[in-house]
Amino acid sequence: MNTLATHAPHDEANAPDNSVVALGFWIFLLSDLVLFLLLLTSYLALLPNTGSGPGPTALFDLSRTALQTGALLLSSLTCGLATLALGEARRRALLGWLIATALFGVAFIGLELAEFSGLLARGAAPQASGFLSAYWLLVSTHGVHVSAGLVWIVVLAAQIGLRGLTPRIVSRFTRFALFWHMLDVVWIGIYSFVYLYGSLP
Amino acid sequence: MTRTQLAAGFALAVGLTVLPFAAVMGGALSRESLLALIAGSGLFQVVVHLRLFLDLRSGGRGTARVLATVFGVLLMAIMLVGTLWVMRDLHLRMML
Repeated sequence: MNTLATHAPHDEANAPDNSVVALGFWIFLLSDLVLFLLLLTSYLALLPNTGSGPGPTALFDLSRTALQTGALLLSSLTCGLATLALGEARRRALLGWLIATALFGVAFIGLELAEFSGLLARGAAPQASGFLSAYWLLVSTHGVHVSAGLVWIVVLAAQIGLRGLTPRIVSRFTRFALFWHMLDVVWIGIYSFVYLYGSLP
Repeated sequence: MTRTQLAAGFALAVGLTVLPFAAVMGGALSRESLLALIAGSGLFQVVVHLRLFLDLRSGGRGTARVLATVFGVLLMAIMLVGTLWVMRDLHLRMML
């Protein structure tokens, strides 16, 4: 208890240079982007390999994909508004926009889970064909990233609520904002090439 | 990030999302022009996100971010084009 109490201020005093940490995190995000690009590439290569399973035109519901895209784009907007609130040191507004970001993220995941259960009900499981293996691997990897982001928001909101806008927490928020915006960039690739391109006649 | 930057980024992103969705769901265009529209608005929207939401620009510490990104994009382009090329070639040879 005592060590924790004395450790905390020391910890804050030694907070690393935010822009250096953000650069390191950006390089990590680029490597994450390489992972998504390779999963998307294997999807494009395996798209014609539907075997005896159902093809993309029979499976994808573009209106749901449009809703998911809207939810994620709105969450990017609220994440940007949270960043602006942080710049003005308005803690309540920051917490409000963070919670809004989480709600749009939850809506996105909810729609995705509805799609997944619909696919399973129609026998479009990952093992049904090469196309479906690549589809499930890519889309669920993105879904896992968004879910990890949601856990991150809860932890971040709790820390902001309990400890306020200390340099370390501001630094963590900066990295979260980069992570969250990057997931929307990945989703542009997914809705364009998995859903829209996959649905072309 | 500024308020104007965020508003402009959001407006552009909405437009660049609605465009390909409306074109594909409307189904009036040919397959080739739809593919060009999807790829074009997707790439443009990625640039909009990087510049306006992720605040990627040169100058100061930003130059290192831009350089890392350009290198990353180069690697990704090699992997994407290389894989599709090899797989297409393999596919064509298997058909013979």
